Amino acid sequence: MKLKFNRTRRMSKLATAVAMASAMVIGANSVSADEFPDRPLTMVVPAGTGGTNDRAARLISRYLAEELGQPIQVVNRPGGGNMLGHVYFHQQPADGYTLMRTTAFPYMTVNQLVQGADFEIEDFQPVNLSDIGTSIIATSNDSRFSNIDELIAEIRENPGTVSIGVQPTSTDMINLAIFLEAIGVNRDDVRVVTYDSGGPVRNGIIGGQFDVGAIGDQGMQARKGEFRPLMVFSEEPSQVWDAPHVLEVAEAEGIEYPRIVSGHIQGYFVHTELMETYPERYAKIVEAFQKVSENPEAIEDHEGQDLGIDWVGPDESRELMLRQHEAISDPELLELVRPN
Amino acid sequence: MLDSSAILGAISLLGSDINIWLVIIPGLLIGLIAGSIAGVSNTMAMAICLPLTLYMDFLPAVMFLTAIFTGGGYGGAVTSILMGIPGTTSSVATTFDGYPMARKGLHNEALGLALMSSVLGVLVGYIILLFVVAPLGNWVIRLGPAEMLLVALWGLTMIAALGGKRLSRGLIAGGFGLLLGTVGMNTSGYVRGTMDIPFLLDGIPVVPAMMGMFAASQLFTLVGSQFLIKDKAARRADYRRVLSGFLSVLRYPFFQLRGTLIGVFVGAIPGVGSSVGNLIAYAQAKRTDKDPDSYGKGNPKGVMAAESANSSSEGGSMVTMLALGLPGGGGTAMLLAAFAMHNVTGGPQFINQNMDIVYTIIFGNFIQAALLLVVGLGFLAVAGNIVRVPLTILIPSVLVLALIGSFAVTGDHAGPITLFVFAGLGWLMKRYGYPVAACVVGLLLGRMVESELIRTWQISGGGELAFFLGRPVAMAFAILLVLSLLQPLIMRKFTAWRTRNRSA
Amino acid sequence: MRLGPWKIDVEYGHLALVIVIAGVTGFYLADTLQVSRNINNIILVVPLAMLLLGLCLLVVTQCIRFRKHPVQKRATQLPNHERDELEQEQSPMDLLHAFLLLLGVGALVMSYPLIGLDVATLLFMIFALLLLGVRGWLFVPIYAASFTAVVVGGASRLLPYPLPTLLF
Repeated sequence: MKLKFNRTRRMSKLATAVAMASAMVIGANSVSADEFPDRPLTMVVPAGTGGTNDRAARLISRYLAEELGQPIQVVNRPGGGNMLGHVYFHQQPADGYTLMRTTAFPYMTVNQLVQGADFEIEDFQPVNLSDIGTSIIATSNDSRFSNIDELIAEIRENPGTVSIGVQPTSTDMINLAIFLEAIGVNRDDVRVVTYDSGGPVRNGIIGGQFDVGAIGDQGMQARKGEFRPLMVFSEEPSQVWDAPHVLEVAEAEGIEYPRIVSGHIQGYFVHTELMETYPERYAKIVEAFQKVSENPEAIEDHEGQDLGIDWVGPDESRELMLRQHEAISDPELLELVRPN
Repeated sequence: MLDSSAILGAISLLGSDINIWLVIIPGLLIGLIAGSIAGVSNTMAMAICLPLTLYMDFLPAVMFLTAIFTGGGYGGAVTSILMGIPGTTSSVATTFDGYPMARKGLHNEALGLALMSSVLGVLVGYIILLFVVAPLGNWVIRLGPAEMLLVALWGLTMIAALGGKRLSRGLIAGGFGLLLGTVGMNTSGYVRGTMDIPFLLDGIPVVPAMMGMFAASQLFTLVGSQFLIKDKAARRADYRRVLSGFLSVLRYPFFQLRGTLIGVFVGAIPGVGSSVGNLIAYAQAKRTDKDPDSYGKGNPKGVMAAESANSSSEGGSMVTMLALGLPGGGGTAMLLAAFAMHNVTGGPQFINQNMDIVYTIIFGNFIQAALLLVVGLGFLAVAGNIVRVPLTILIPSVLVLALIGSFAVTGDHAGPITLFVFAGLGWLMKRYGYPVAACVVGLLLGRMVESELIRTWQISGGGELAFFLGRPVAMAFAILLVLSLLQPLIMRKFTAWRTRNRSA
Repeated sequence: MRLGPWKIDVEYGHLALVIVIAGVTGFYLADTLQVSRNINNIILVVPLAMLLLGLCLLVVTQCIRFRKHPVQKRATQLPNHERDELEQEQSPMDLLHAFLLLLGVGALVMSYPLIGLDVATLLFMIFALLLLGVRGWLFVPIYAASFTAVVVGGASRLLPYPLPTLLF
């Protein structure tokens, strides 16, 4: 990854600065509602500075600001498993000036059905769900497990000795729990080590702080050589990871595998209400996002940082979001993420 | 160990863009001013300036933000010394001896001391970094829950060192703070003590609570007094005394070095590293000194210990950020965000492929340290005059600033409410001899202690000894912890044995 | 307080503080236990809370002293040798002022969402300056107004969060 110090970049930054400054001046003077946006926008991130969602929000804000002609302020509202940020966003007026970048799945579902949040997932309209992850089980490079079969054997032969790092309110936890049940192991037969977020689990895997970890594969691709993937929770063999997928493993064990839950789904949101009250603004926002996702410079930047930018579009995104929401609304599954 | 081609690369990078140099002084000034206004902190200044960096290239942006960080590290000391209110969580230990010195009229010396300690801390810290940046990264990633727990406990032992008048009160204050620090959702997903107040889900906001406790206990206790310093003649910004404070640091090189070492390594630990470093260094200095009771009453060495550690911990947390992409605290989180904005990801690949940039950042910080000396002195000329302002005006002004600051931290009503609640608590505690600092330390560490304790329990299968025996680093930490607690005892026995042998 | 031949010295303020601490601790302990008895939940909170309650009990016994002799010095604060020699004396009047100041802060905090941060700050500054005894019918409003303007105005411009204000 080479950093560019060439003059074109600097010039275009200067041009952007000038453009934005003049846009702000012009925007401040305009009164007409058609001149959307006429003041800076806000992007809410329900997580701390420096995390994946925060970095993605800041990266895309640059490009979005160019498209929309107004700067975009990133506001962090971490806490409560993304709930505080979701609630904060929900409380803002649905006038198009507040956007959100978040991990919608599974957090919105958990917020609503387990944590008793005031909102309903239908209140959030995805503009684009750009990052769709997959759960994997991985271990450190010098781990005693070189493949999934060794792990399964060890758990069965020596219950209560293998440690697994995971974030308790994640889909990785759900997938892990389903897997353990499928191979006939009690949850108490493994030492579950709980973390507040994915980052520490990632580092724990690489640093060998526990035997294996269950994690989403976002943010792991940049560090591919530093750890050993053991299994992928997908329906098809993985194109990305050099490890068997769960159905393959189940077949080898002679088990029928009940269910695979998607990894975390992240993306950009507006209020659903916006679509009805200010349809032109909504259209403008969607268009801006789409243009950014086609911008080659933006694509390169995102890929360099292991962030997604594929254009899925609002309709398909919404359908995906609601489908996954239905999938884990099953009380049995929700029990898995509810601490008892 | 040192990559010479990277060094050359760094030198050429430093020369490539004049902007890298131009941003340093404004950054230092912003950091100094922000850090020294009780209520604003250097993290906040960085957060406010973060959008500005969008218009800069990557290296100037990083230089700018790290300059703010460096400036703020000292700026926090200014308000700690002059008003006894820490400007940042890493200046808490500076108040212990800095403020008593100011009350005695020695504020000039204290400020000079702190400046020199800070400058040397940054310099030495980054020099050490130059050599260990890659191996330190590998080392930090292996820190597991047991090791982190021991570090947190080490920080907690501070409470005993702070004890003050009666141990029971220190324990209550510290324990209560610790308990309050665990409010909210814990690492296993259980939610306690929130009384359905949403913002408590993430725990009690630490900075407003800290400001409330310190500001209240200090300011309310001063009601009725006219000036911070009783003696009118001492109430000046006197350069000669600042310089004497300055130079006195040079008389204790090993002392300074020890504080710096503690700061670098503890600062590298992700999470609360930089806030805890100054506390550990202070506690260590107090325990091993021949006259521990003088600490807390205005011993300059206390200020030195605290300031040398908190400046070098900046460098330490930088390592963790660069090597692992993990924020060590507020400041490095901002830096990570800036990195992202400029399309750079921290992590081992970054270090391996961009060693020249890493060196550039380090060298840039050397320059910042040197410039801090100059800018800092100039700043002191102005800041020192705060002691001339009558308290009747100062107290309400600082209270309002603290309020705005706590609003800025949380962005909503939560900050000011926390400030108020803890102001009341802090004042009561101070009146009846409960060490406020112990409560703050507990609050800072509460989350970390509980999380790491839970994980240690989980990963060891419920406290199995075999687990600990297999982790040499944890064992080493534990031994260090016990040794550091026993050190004063050992030293006394040692000196006694020596005197006996000599007189024999 | 007298109880027959005994005189009971009570440090009321201190007692109040300890009761508050013990009360909060007790509430938190109950809440935690009610959430779950799982070790992952109670491992730190429960032992710590119990230790704290024990310590509070100990301190309470230090707050309430029984004396047989009616002639004893009332201990309202720490005994002299333990008090910080740098602390300047605060008269009861000063303490009252400090308490009123604290209430003022509370009023500021609770009122600003309603009347705006600028108005609330201005009122607080005037109140505090007068309370602490600043003379000058001209100086007080001028300083209060300019301070409020600079600080609140500056904050609203710099911070990304909306500041509730009335006049700006």
